[in-house]
Amino acid sequence: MEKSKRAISARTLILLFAAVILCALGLTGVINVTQAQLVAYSEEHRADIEQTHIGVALVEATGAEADAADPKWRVVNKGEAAGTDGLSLDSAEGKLLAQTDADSDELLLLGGDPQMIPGKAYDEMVSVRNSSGMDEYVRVTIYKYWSDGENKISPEALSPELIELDIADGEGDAWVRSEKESTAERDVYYLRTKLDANATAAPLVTGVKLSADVAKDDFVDKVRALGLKAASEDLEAASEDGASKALSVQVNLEARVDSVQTHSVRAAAKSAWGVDIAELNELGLEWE
Amino acid sequence: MEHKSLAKRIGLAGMACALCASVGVGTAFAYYTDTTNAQGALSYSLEPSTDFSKEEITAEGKTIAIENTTDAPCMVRVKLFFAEKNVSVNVRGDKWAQLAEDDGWFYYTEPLLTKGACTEDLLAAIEVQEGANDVFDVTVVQECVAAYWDGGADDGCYVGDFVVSAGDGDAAKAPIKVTDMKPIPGASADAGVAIKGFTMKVDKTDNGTEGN
Repeated sequence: MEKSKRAISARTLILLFAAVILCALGLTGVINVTQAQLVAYSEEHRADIEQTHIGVALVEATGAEADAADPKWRVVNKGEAAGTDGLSLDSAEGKLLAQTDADSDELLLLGGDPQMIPGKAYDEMVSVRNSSGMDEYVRVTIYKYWSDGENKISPEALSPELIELDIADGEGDAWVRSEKESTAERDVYYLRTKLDANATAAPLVTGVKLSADVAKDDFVDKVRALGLKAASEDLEAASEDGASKALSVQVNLEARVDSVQTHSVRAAAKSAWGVDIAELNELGLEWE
Repeated sequence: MEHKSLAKRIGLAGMACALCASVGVGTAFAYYTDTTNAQGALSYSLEPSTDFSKEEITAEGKTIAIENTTDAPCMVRVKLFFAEKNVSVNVRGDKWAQLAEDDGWFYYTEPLLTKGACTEDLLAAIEVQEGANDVFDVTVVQECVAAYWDGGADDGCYVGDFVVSAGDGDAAKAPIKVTDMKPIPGASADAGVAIKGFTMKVDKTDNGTEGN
């Protein structure tokens, strides 16, 4: 019994010793593998973060800067998701038609005119920039209406059609109008193809003009019939130079851009915007 | 016991289905989208107004200039009223014109675009006739209308809708283009355009003033 007891304990000792060596070897090996895996994972993780959003911005080129061959785009506003891209807004944040000349401080749009002259075409380009590293599909909604400076004037009282926009939505142009979604004062346009990462789309709006009818008595009578209240500064100015208060209205232009992912765009557009891509593709869209 | 267990199972299955459905709803809105908007407004003044910036009486006659007193671009015209029995009048001035079919008005061939913009001088040389009254008037009336752009012909031109009298005596507004105007001799010319006397008064519009 004593003999066998000693033999077992010797074997156990050898086995234990071998186990310890194996453990030590194994541990160093495992640590190496773990380190290698950590490095590999962390690289993939960074790549994933870059894929987590799409971003969109409205851009405008006005007056002399609206060169058809090479427009000098200014970023007017950008989406929340685009906020992380470091894309900086140019002057006149969030405002259309308000870009000014750096030297003279005059509105670039009017090119020296004190206000829009009816019948005269002004250069005004509006487009969309993809401010992210992912491709996207975009649509733009344009609103145009008259206002008294504070409140909108109904389209029945003063027709928005008198504010004429040149839109690049013809055959072969980059944009397609959605008749179904458009009304007298709202037009919805879809970019025919996907907008590549960091690219700027071809201009949707290329010019703005007031109809010559705005200078006619009929329009003046309609405005007079509205009985607009004088803005306080107008009244002050009028009393200063002794002239009666000049009758005035405001021309308003508004643009809104929506973008959606290119992957599963059919489901994405249906879910986010409630539109059926199949119907739009019939209009000449090349989505999917 | 059997029934209770079945009911419990069905209940659990229902809850599982509801959970699955709610998970599905969650993912349906998880598409990547972005949006932004911008708006802008421009003021448009409808009623232009003008006044005499110069109305001087000299040995030769009268010198007249018109000024835009608003931010609304406008076209202007001027008419002189006098009795031929008393005086004869010759008119000249740079950038001033008459219509091809003279209607007695002198039109300025450029719009007054900005506030404070003035016309060139219109010179009316007045010669007193023999046997004239001791006291007489040469009355000047000026009028303005909103200027607009007609891009139709060639490069386009400025237009103003002025009141013109139709053949039957009715007055109505008609577009008068800069290209319809025929310039009169300039300020440095020796002689201007002799005009006929108008003694009757015209109906003045809201946008006109009168000087003596």
